[in-house]
Amino acid sequence: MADYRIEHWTSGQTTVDGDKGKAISISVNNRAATRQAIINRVRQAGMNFVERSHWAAHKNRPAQMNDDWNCSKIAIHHAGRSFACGPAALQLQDIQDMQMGRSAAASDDIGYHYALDCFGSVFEGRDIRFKGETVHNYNTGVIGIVLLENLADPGEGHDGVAKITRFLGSIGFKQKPQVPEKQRSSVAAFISILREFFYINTIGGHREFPGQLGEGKICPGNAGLSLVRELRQSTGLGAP
Amino acid sequence: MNPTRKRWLAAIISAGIAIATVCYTGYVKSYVDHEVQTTFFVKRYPTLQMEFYDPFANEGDDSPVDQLSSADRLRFSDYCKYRFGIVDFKTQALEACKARVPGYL
Repeated sequence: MADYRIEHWTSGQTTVDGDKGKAISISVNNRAATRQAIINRVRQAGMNFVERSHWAAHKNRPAQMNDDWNCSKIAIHHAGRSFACGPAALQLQDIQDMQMGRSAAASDDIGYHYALDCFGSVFEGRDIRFKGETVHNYNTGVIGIVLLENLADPGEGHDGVAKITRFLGSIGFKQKPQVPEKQRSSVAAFISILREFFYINTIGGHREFPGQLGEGKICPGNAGLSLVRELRQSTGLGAP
Repeated sequence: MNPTRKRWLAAIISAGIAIATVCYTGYVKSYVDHEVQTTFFVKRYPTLQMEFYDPFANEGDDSPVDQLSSADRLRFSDYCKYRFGIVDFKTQALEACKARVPGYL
């Protein structure tokens, strides 16, 4: 990590006729330790943290996954227009199945590093030691966090689904989404925890990152983007 | 023209239109903005294959064409041939094809 000064302490003593061949080498995996420290810190803060194994994630396909460590940005996503607040473990299984199992352009794991459900629980997605797949051609140094619901206003977007939701909104069948209060406070707390471990200087909604709006994206929806702006204001982090 | 002959003619014309539609319509699936999108296009050459494959149509970082697996490269070159009329399988031609792929949203 770029902003860490790592120090190691040790002590030793000499023995008569001793030689260095008897020395035991101990390697420390700082990245794995950091992953665990983040988990511990979230739990210490009184939040619920669910590791991959506890939501029955598939094993990743590590051969084609890339290491990525010096994270400086956070990308906030919503789960998409077909999602609503619900059982997060099942939703994550669905997302991972779809992302890894699709016939075209399949991923080697779920793309997001973390997911937050509507009740404020934090779920581990892709191991933080690997580069995410959440912001097209802009994933280096970016931690991807998905909020497990739809945060797009009715009519947001340019496709048939947007037209239908606009119509449903106009006749009162579809309400503007709102970020649940528990999720709102949880995401703020979680970001502050991530900042203890990484030198984060930027937070943005998916479509705010370079090149994304040109592709016509709506993620994280207008409600999601309002949350991101609030987070920028409260944390002092910059926009992408 | 008697009614039976008319019906046959209509059936033959309908079958011809259906075959032409299949031969000249293709689609590619993408996964962007957290949804699966299906994009249709007119094929430059007739083929019965309708579904094509773009290995870059996701939220990951694009890898260079020469780092694609041979199966992915073959499927991508098929897509380039039928969507853009690029029949050259060389890396440079496929990179140029990649640059021509429009946004999927």
